[in-house]
Amino acid sequence: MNETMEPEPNEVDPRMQGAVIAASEVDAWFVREILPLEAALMQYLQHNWRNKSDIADLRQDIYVQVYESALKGLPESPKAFVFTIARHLLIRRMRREQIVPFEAVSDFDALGAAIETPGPENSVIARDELRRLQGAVDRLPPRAREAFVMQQVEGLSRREIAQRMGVSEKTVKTHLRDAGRALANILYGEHADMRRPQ
Amino acid sequence: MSAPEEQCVSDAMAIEMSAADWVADRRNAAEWTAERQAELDAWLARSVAHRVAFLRIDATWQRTDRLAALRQPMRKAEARPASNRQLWSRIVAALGLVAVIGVVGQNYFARPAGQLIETPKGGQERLGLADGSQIVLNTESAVRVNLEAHKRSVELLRGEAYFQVRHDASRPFVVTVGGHRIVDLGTKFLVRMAPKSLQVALLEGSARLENANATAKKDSVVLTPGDVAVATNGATHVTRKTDREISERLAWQRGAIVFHNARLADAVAEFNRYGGPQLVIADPQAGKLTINGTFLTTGAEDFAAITHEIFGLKTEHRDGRIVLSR
Repeated sequence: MNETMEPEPNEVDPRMQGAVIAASEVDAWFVREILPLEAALMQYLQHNWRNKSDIADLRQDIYVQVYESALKGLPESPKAFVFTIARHLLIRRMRREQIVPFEAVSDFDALGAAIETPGPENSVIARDELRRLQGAVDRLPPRAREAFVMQQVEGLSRREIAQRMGVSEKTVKTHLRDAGRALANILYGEHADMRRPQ
Repeated sequence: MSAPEEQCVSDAMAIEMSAADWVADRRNAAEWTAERQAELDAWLARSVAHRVAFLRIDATWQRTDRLAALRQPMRKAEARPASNRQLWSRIVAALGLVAVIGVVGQNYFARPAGQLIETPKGGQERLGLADGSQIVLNTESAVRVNLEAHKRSVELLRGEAYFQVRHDASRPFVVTVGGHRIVDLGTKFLVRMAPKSLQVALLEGSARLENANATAKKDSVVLTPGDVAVATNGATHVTRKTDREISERLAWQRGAIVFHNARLADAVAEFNRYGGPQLVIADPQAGKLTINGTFLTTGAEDFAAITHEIFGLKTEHRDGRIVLSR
């Protein structure tokens, strides 16, 4: 993040004014406000960035900037905050790589406004959330799913899982890693209902 | 989900893989040590990219914690991975519980000072304080929180609460419970008001338990990880528990109760804290039987069925209560 850019518009929550914001507070804010926007963010990146293999890096860079800016003050509108950062970042990358016309990102406002993001904490009731979790687990690769269910649902230890699966604990660890990554991509990276018209 | 090998390996992906490893390792409680925690802290401090990647995967696992509500009471030997069909059928059974658990995680942020926060029977609430500390309230519990410039005080009025305190020497964090006071020295601890005693279990760091009326320091005891203090009006006893025993005391945060050689009478009292049908033991001798196992806090009926299976007790439904007898 050595690019010269003004911090994004930080409208500091009045409660926070003058306060140094604790990292743990930003952590909680990031999980509560920013991660639920990931599906919309991914959609935005996929729509506006040709090289799909860059997207994980772009998302990481955006999150890093969001987090660093939030340490100076939590913004009033997390969504505008994230998409402004995303847009600036894409523009800088496009300039640098000179591959994509600027117009590609100009529909950001229309797109951003159209995307409603029901976070788990506001409109998705627990029942739907549980179905969604189950749906996500169903989509894991079989071995990763098996390891994950044994740990999260059955509450087995790593050793017990290894014994049951007949593999080493190291292999279990790999399955759990895959499960964690895939679930993050499904639960945060995708919209709750993929059939919802965009 | 595209498989990792389909994508080109990127910096972000390498970080994400490390983050996913850390999260999974940390949840393997049996092997998670203070040294590992220190390594994790160092890794997180190394870059914001590490931190955000960790938060993301960790939050994912936390979201899936409510799948643990689907866990069946079972004896270890019978435990086996659930097929999807079984898992799905359990969802229906667990929905009632999940409606309660779903409340957890809300109201996470800054709370106005001096506020009274209560949970109903069977409820649970996680509070994030403006100073970064956290409190998780168990069933039928109440705290009054007061964050001031030079002092943070929380009064536990009833029930049970888990505290994860962000230490600040210039701003002590004091929990008052009846006639006792717990002063944080940088720590995680669990406080429970039992009918005749106060129980404090210390998970991390240290805390000082003192009699609120005593002025002399000798009346206070400093707790270190693994300590469980039981204070009555007259005296305080401290015993040392294993990590496993301590973490089992926190099982309620995942909607579970864990018993190890628990007397049936105590197990029943534990279930009755959480609402649902009240369990009654008609025969005092039966109350002395001991039981092991993990149950849902809402699993009183399953529990009764198990006592029938294991001990041959009769279970009888009477006026919304379940009476256990020989």
